[in-house]
Amino acid sequence: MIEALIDIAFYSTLVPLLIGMFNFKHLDDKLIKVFFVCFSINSVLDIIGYYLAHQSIKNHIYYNAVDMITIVFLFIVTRIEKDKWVSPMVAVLFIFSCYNLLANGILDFSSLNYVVIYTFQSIYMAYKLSKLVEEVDRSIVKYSKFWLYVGLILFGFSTISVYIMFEYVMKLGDSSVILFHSVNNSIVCIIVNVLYSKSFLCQKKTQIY
Amino acid sequence: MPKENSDILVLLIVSTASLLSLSIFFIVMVYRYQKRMAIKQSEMYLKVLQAQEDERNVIARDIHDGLGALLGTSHLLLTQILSSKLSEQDKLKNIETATLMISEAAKEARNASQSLMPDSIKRFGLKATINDLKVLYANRIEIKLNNDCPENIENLLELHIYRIITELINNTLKHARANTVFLNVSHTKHTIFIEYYDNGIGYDFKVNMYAGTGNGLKNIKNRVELLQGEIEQSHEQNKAMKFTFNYHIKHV
Repeated sequence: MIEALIDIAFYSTLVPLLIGMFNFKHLDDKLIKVFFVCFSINSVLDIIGYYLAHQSIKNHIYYNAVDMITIVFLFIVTRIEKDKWVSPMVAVLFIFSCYNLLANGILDFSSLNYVVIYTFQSIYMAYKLSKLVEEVDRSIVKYSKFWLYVGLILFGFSTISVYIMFEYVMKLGDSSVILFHSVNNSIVCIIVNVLYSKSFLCQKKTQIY
Repeated sequence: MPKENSDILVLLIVSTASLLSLSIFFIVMVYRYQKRMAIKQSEMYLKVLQAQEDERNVIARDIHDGLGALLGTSHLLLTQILSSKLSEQDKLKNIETATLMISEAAKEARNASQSLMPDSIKRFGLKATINDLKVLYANRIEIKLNNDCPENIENLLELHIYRIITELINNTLKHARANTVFLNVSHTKHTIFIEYYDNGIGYDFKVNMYAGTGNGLKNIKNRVELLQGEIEQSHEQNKAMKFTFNYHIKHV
């Protein structure tokens, strides 16, 4: 049952990936296009990581790469959205992550990196969502940015709890805690992939000349 | 399961659920706030459209009753001249009356044009245009003016303020039975204050505003709301009324 849920969560990534690919030209916004590119790269890395884990090969380096791509995505967002005061914060985040990776070892997973990056991302996206209200001239749910921000906020805030205590949880090696982690991650993945799909499906506003 | 492990599991479930609930709550709040804003905005657009329609009605009525009547009568008088039934003396009399009426019609047209889009706002600004009001209404009401209107403010704001003032004067003329209005325009660095009152019979602002007896007050209220200004109305029943408006100035 749990295995099936994990598989469904894993394959659910294909839905937004395919929608985004076929709809790339009509994606609502430059930011969404950048997100789609980063999401595609992260999906490929996730697939590799998933299969390596099935072969019992250490796959942490791929997840560290996913974190780094997330930072790159955040930096590009700050440039596109002209949030000048956020760019230096992302740069600091990048330096912190690099330092942390080098200190921990690139081949090892750093839960601290994960917590810091995704907490920052969620808070930043919550800020962007509150700002979006002022930019829109029709219902907010018709904007692909809305679904993207919602997806990123939910993903961050619903997964960081486990990663805050990740080292401790792993040390305990308790199956029920790991089971909760897997189920939680899988459900969140499925929901978030639905939200990303919705985001990629939102059409540009028709301009009347 | 050892107690420590079950505590961790409970802690994880509670913290994840709390964070998730908080995020969902935040998203729902943002969504609802935007929905409320959108409704408010569309109501505002409707009010603006309504104000435009009301103004068109007033202009149409003025043209029909004033300019139309004068030109119609002049036409009638001139047509009578063409018929051979009138004596030379009557023909001269008709020409004289028609000339007077056409001159009156030209004056009406100028007034209508002035109230539609006062040329002096564009050329000399709001301050000079408000000063001109004394002359424009000279034969109908006395305007006691204290005009310290700021220079170089946004054109749209100038127009709205001008329209509000003329609407207030017209209200006084129509309903207040007053012979003097007092207009005080002052400003600070970022705000403009307009104080208006007359010595007429006065009326209950709220009753007249919401009873649907006229559109003048509604137009004033809509314009004030549109420019995010504030309106204060102090009155005592059957006594003179007093309006104060506050606007944030955008200098150009």
